[in-house]
Amino acid sequence: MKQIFRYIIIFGLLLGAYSCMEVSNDIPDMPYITTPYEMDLPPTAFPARFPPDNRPTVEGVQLGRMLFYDPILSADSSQSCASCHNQSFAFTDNGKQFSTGVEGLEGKRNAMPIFNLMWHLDGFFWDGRAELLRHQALLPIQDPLEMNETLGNMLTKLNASPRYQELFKQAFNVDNIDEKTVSLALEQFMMTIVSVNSKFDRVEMGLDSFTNQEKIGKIVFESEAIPLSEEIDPQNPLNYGGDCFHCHTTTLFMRREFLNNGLDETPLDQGLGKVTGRASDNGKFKTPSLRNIEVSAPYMHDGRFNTLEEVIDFYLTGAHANSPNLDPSMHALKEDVYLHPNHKAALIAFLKTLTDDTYLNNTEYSNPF
Amino acid sequence: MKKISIYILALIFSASGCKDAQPEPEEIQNLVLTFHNQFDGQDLDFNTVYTLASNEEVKFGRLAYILSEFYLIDANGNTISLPNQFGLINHERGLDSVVLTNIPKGHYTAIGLTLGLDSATDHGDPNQYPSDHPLNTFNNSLYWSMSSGYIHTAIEGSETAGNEVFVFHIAGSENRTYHELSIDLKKEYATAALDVYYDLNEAFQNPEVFSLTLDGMSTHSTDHPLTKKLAKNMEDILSVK
Repeated sequence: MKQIFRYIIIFGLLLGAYSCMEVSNDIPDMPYITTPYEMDLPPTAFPARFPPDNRPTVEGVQLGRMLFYDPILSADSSQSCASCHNQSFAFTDNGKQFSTGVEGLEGKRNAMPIFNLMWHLDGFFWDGRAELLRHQALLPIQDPLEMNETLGNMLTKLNASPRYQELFKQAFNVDNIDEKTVSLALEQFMMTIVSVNSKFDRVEMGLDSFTNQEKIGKIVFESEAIPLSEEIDPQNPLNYGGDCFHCHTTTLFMRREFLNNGLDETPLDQGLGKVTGRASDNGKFKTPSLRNIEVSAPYMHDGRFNTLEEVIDFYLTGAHANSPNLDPSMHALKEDVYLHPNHKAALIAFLKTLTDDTYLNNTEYSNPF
Repeated sequence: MKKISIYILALIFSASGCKDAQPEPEEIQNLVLTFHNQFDGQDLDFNTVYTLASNEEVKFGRLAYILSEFYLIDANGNTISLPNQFGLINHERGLDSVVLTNIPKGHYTAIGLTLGLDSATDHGDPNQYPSDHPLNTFNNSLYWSMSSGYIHTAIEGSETAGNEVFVFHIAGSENRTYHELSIDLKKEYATAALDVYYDLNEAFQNPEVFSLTLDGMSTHSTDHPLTKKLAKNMEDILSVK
């Protein structure tokens, strides 16, 4: 009896020890190992910001890059995302006011640049209709004015491709390609496109220096405008503010808020207002970054200005004071403001220091095909 | 029998060993401050027309401010400093709370905080903070690149009679205001809460009446008389009821 009891106790001990061990009953599967995407950012940049559920991997970024450049995503396989987002133009559409889609139809707004998107906080597109970059990624594919493809057709084409099946398996460990993984791959690629090595950045880091003209331009950029109605002394250099810094701030040269800069007294395109349904948002659009502004003409949500000179002239004398929901930051610029031609040229010289050739020529962002 | 007892003890030990593998989570010690933005005791509403003490009618469109230098005073008179904790309040975005961490249980009789930042933080590297940090300059939209410093309070809106906009950006560590508010907070649990009231009307009336027409519609300068007047009026802008 004693012997039996001893065996029971020993069996209990073994059972207790076994229950503490982490034992998996899963049948061994093919290894699913992705490589974390390393990003080396300079001190002038904010810390990297990735969504916890879609941290970029080498495999995911490379897949997203292929999708971005692959015309298979459009209805007739004639256009890719890159057709309207050319790296040489800061991923805008080759200087065009409006892009032409696969059906030969023109879009209604100017193609936006692509860089530093991982830091954006309040939605994508000029009107903010996409909350996250992954949401943004799928909309141009379906837009009748753009790639005009259904997600169903797109997935059928991708799933029929052994190459894409393999790439999605490597990046997301899936056998069936769905719209979620497509959007996550595109999000990963676009998140990794950064512009952080302009002359401005290098000056900030002490690696370069501004010319005298660029220095004056920076002062103009960061100084308040004074309306002519205030009887200013035009000889006083303190009166030569461009008042740019209120809306184009931080090293991103943008604000997270959607704002109305007074382009129209009665905006035909209500922008954010159409998305939210709030009258208080009418006429508001995403505040764009000024980085790479030199190569991303034309300007404004509708691409109405072809040159930086035209943009500056608008802010000096063309803003509509009665535009609905005009941003208070425009309080000086809604009146006529004077800027000496030399200071206007200096401002443009400063803006050109925001051009980032490293980004424009980075082969990691270029066509992989 | 003695051997059996040893086996039973070993069995109990074996079973209890599993529990030891899971460490007890540390208790979170928070104090959640909720800021209620008001105008003359009523909840602030950007669609409401308010009459200032100067008899000017206004609508507000933006109210945002940065908080720092928090501390607590307990019933024994001890001060518990809470360094490197910051708050961002943005009325439009619905940011209305600050979670202070590492607050021991106890009986507290006062809370102190600063509207604004000390000079070192104000002029520190603005790119060091992650995207959701109150001092991330893209997150808070409260930064002057030209002076490499933060706007600690942004008040914007329009004067309804002439539809003229006003923009008051208060910046500079010299224009921060210190607030010590009496409370009776017996913090017995890990998380406690406190309601703080920010009455925007105070900025335009106490102690000096501020007139948009006479004092001005905008300030972006740290030493402008308008800035000094608004900053002075903000000394009593916070309260606990």
